[in-house]
Amino acid sequence: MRRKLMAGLLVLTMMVGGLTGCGASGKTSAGSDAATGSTAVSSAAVDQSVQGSSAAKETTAKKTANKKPYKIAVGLPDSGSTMFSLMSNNVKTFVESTGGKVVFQGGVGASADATIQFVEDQIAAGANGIIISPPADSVLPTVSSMCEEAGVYWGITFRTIKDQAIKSQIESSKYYVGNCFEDEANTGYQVMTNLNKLVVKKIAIISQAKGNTTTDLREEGINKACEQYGMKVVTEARSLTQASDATSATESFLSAYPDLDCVFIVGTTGTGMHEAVAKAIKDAGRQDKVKMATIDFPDSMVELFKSGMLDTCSGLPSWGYDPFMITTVLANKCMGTPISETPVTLTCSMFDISDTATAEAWTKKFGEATTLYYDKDTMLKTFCKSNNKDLNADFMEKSIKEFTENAIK
Amino acid sequence: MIQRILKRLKQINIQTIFPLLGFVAVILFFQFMTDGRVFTVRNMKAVINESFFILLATIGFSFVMAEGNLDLSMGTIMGVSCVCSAIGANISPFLAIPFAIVPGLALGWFNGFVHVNLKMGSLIATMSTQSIFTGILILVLNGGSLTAPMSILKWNSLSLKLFTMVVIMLAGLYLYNYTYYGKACRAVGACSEAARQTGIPVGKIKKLSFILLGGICGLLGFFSLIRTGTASSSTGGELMMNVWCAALLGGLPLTGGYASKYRAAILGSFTMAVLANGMTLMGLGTYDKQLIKGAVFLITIAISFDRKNMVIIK
Amino acid sequence: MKKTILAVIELVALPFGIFIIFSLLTDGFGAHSIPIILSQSMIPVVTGFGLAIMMNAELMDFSMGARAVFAATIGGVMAQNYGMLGLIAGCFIGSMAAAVAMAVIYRLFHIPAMVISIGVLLIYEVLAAKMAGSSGYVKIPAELYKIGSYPMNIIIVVLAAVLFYILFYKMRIGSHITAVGNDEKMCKNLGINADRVKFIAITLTGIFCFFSAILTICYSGSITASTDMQTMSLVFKPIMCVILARHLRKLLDCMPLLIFIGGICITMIFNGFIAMGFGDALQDIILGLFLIVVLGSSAASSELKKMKMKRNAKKGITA
Repeated sequence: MRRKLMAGLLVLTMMVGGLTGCGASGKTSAGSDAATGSTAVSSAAVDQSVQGSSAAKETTAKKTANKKPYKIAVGLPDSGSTMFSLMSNNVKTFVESTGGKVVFQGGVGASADATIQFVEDQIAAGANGIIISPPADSVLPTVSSMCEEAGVYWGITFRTIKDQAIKSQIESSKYYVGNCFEDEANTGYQVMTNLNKLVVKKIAIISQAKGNTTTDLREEGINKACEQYGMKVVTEARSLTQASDATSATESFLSAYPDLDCVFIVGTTGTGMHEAVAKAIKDAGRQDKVKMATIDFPDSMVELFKSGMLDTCSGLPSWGYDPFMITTVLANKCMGTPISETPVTLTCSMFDISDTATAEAWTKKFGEATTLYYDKDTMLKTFCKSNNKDLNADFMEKSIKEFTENAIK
Repeated sequence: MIQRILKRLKQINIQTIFPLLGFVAVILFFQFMTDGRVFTVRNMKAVINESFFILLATIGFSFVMAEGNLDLSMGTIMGVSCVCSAIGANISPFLAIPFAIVPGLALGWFNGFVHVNLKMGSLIATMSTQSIFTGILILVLNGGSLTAPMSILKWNSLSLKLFTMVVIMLAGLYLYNYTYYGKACRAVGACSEAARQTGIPVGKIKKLSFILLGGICGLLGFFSLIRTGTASSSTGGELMMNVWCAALLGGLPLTGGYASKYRAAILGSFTMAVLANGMTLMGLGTYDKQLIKGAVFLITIAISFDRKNMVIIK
Repeated sequence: MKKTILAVIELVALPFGIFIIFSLLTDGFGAHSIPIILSQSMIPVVTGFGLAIMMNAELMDFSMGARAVFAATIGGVMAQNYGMLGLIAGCFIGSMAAAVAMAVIYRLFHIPAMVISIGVLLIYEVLAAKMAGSSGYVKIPAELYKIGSYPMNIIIVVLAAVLFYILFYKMRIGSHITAVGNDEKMCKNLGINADRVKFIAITLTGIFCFFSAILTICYSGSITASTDMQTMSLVFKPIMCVILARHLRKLLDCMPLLIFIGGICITMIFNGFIAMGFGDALQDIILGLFLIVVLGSSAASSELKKMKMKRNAKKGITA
């Protein structure tokens, strides 16, 4: 009897899973409808192109109805923090508005094995386009050959290809659409330059495990600044997953180094870390002496600036903007209207926030997971090649620049 | 004739065949839900690639588990072996294999030494060695990762993997069911004191199992290198949990002994791979995948667990 | 009495020795580090109390971290509306519900506890993540931070230790748990309902999970809802504490104290290496070696004795 009951439970679980999957795949405009009432950010360049477009009068809904359906797989998580949710919401809005479907998967960039398995699985699942954030250049030839064999387009987010031999090999493939990246090393260097102005000499860093490309590059910039300004990274804590780990680590830093000047959160996947570090510094009574810096704007940035705990941070206008832009390039390719015949390289710039007013302005625009970078109509009119003949790599770069400048206006 | 078949069917124990039935059911279910994507050539390749690492490691782990032991350091052994293989490959591509397997064997021996000679429980012994191996891995890499020469990537072929899988599966089957060593492993798991008194060198058998698992993890380090072209500190990060889940899902008992069946390692590995692959084909979100994995894990083991041969369930 | 005093001296020598070594090696580690060490040991020690009950019944549990995060998430959500009462009620309800659910599954399914712990870990992580929402973490109001700070955290740990001591040594259930862990078959023959005892053992871990949840969320002011089995790493430190404690039990049979000593030792190693400016790599290696040296020392010394006897015997023969 018990076995029958359990067998029934197992079948029920699989059915529920199946229905969930069907429900997930059946969603078309549900995600975008949720964002209708939310704030949208539009830029002057985008507005101009909209006015100039000869297809502006035709409703975009009719245009997208004729598009062939396509599927994009993005190797980034869609939940677990505000920035992930914000990115996935925008990417989903664009893709679903253009008649496509998007799936997300976290943990892909954690290792080379996971990246390759993700690409293989998504090709088998019928993806027409894949976005990855590779942990190393050496996986790219394998990814490229898999995508070429399957006729699947692909692009890179948050990374550039440093190895020139691999770069020329990848860029010669017609299935590679390009990459979007930011200069992580320079960002690390820039934050250290700001800290140097605040007369910081001894720093403790909280970072990811060595081998994580993002934080490795940022630390390169940090080390360069250390050599130049005579600063020193005295200690570190890596791979923290819980806020309590960040508190413990900071307490240990403060106890071991009474002359510590700054705790620098270089990169972390855990959420709530910044508040935990701030709390530890405050509890130790060292908030006047020990500064706090970070890369990527935390959810509680305004509170931290207001309380005087955070001194400087640097980040993208929005973390999800990089994958959003490369996804538009990929989506256009999948729809049969590529924006460029050769792979595009888009550069996002990070900028600094060092005061409460700027932090408030930024948070007002990008503090909610439901915020859209552009409203749906603007997305379709501007970032679909079929609606905007001027859409090309230069236009994309211009849009990025405008978006960055308007991010804190 | 029909009566004989019916009589035979009645004799079959549902618990024995449930893992196989479950595996077939999972495949059919995903085949139906994904409009037939499961049995495409591309997907089969993806499943084979996904199950390759889990299957081979689970085969090695089944010997350790048959003795009632556990190993937390599998993933880090694979990582260290991958790094050593990259170092060897940069000297000469033909050194990649020996440079992968030898460190794996050595680290496996160290696990065995700590467990047997220092008389530490396998869980805490391998927890300690995992910590040491992780530190060694990070020190050797000195931050970042090691790249293998591009020429080595062409060795990454499905036929080589299939060949290796078949060879190791058959070798494992022979070793597990038809040799003194395999029977000794299960005897040690059933009751190590009784095994000792019958003349089985318990310490040596245990060490040999850890060495065997280490060697297989070393080989997997090589295959990871030719697949990805890179060795980093995250190589093998998920191997341990996947292997544990595969072993338990297939029905290998934690306490080892004669209830440990070789087929459990194979069925569990393929079931894990098909389950993960199927959920990806269906486009399920991360949370849904994990929730279903947890529920299926519990219920499947609950149905297939061999309670008759286990007097005490811990 | 003399034996007890000697045992206590030996016990204290271990953490004292580690303290002296690091104090001599670096200026950043010394008497001023003691409050930090005590504070950082609290959470693994309290979690270790719960694990000790399970491990005494020869059950293994990897889900305590996930259950603590799950309970803390519920507590955090309730704290935002109901303050301290909401936090305490939420953590208690969450931890007890999770423990009872696990115990019921164990009783119903009759499969190993380790298997169940892995399955429920996967489920509780997702439930906590869904409750935490898009931000991935839950904050508590600032006025509740004091629960995770001195002296409240000490009071909580002492309370947990006293409760653990009473359960483990003074109540019948503690004796039954120990008996079931030693020889379940014998217990059944003696009329002890082993299944009921194990059910209660798993349920009792919920109490210590409650303490752990409160301390975790109040210590940092928030709780991060992680997935992908990341919460499993939260139990490794407590497991090390408990195994160290069981090893030291031959010196003195007082598990709360022994678990506390184990926690202190491991925390001192981590802090010592941070003070010395060493990275993760060396920390990992030294921690692993420390465990091997401490836990393997008695076996190693008996092996050395055997080797010495063999050598002496050989010399005797040749002479």
